[in-house]
Amino acid sequence: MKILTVNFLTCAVKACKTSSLSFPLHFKDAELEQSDIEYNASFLRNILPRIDWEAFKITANELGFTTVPSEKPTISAPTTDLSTPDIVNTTSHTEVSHDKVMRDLHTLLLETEVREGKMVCGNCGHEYRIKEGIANFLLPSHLGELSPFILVIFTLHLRLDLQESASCLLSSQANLWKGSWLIGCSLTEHGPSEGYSVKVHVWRRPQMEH
Amino acid sequence: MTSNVPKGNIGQYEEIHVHQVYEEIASHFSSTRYKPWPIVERFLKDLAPGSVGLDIGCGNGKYLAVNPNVFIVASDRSVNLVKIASKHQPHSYLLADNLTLPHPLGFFDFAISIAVVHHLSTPQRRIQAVAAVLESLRRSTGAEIGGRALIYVWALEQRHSRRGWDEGDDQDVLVPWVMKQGPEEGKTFNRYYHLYRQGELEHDIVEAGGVVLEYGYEKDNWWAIAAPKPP
Repeated sequence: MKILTVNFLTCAVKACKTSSLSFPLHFKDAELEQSDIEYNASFLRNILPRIDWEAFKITANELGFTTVPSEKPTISAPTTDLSTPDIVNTTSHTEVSHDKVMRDLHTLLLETEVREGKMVCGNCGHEYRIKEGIANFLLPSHLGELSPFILVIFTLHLRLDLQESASCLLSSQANLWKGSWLIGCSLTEHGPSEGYSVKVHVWRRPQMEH
Repeated sequence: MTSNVPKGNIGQYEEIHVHQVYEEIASHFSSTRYKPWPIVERFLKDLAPGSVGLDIGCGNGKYLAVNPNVFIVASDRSVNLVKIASKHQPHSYLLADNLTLPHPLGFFDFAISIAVVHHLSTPQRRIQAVAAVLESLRRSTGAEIGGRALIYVWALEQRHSRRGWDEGDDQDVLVPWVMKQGPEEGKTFNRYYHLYRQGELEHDIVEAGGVVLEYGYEKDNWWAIAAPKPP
């Protein structure tokens, strides 16, 4: 799994794709390997406009590479005009440093591979395994396109202050209800000392494995 | 006429009659697939340098080496085929299902899905597979067509081929693959195919929210170049 590739990936769960949290995916327990790929300046220059730089910086940072330029290098047309013989051999300082930046990017984007580890969706928390350099994006059947949603109806009896108990409940079970849709709820007040009950209707996927 | 249309658990049917078969025959299959088909080659060579695209159902990755100026994220459902494809640099490789692709929507400059969609066993799933290809592409605007996809499927009309199917024959077939190498030499594996009638691929593309830019027939296959439909 090349670092460049991460820029072109999201979670495979359809509902996650519209969430900005699913991009980029986040690495966990990544083991890196350096491979050797021929440096191709024009390939890299051409591919640069298609890279989401902010996402790339997040990925690089997670893998411990903290020296990525904060701005995407600007792609200028080749500065050496080969048809003008007197400037062929003059290479300015900026060109040398630009070449260094591009070679470093080549190393990071194309030659640095995650051999083993996991990629995690920031929206649903699903983890994708990387084994021998190949990421496995096959979803367990309950998360795939055939996955049935189930309707869950339950009643909560809230005896304390309504707002306090509701937020307490939500925060303690936030993970459990991720990826679910609340489709309705009705509140019944049982009287000042009796508290409330809330009937909740939720569409949800069966429990995800973590 | 529709006797071979799979019934029951579709996912399990394709698991047995497509995914497991490719997993088993990967190495032998790959050794028979090395020459790029001319229309696919032309499509890839015509891409602008720096284009980023997908090869959905890449098999052994025989199209990855065609154009060294583009970047391809290739995926397949068979890990053994992905391992074979991963020899082609500087591209990238994933294990993924074409109905649940792990890619951003509306992003890619191009996609190819060659001899893949015909392995899905219901009309809805075939249209979904085409929709998944189209959704990954840069969207078309009123003024400009977005990303382009080349899709290839096996044709029903191939009376001069070794198989000899033609108009009026059953479109859902199990095609035997006889192993000619390795420890399982002589063993037969049956792969499921849906054979496309003339016009069916274009119909599915329109159903999936696309426009057909070009289409044709080449060596027992129907092909089409499609793009997301402009608003």
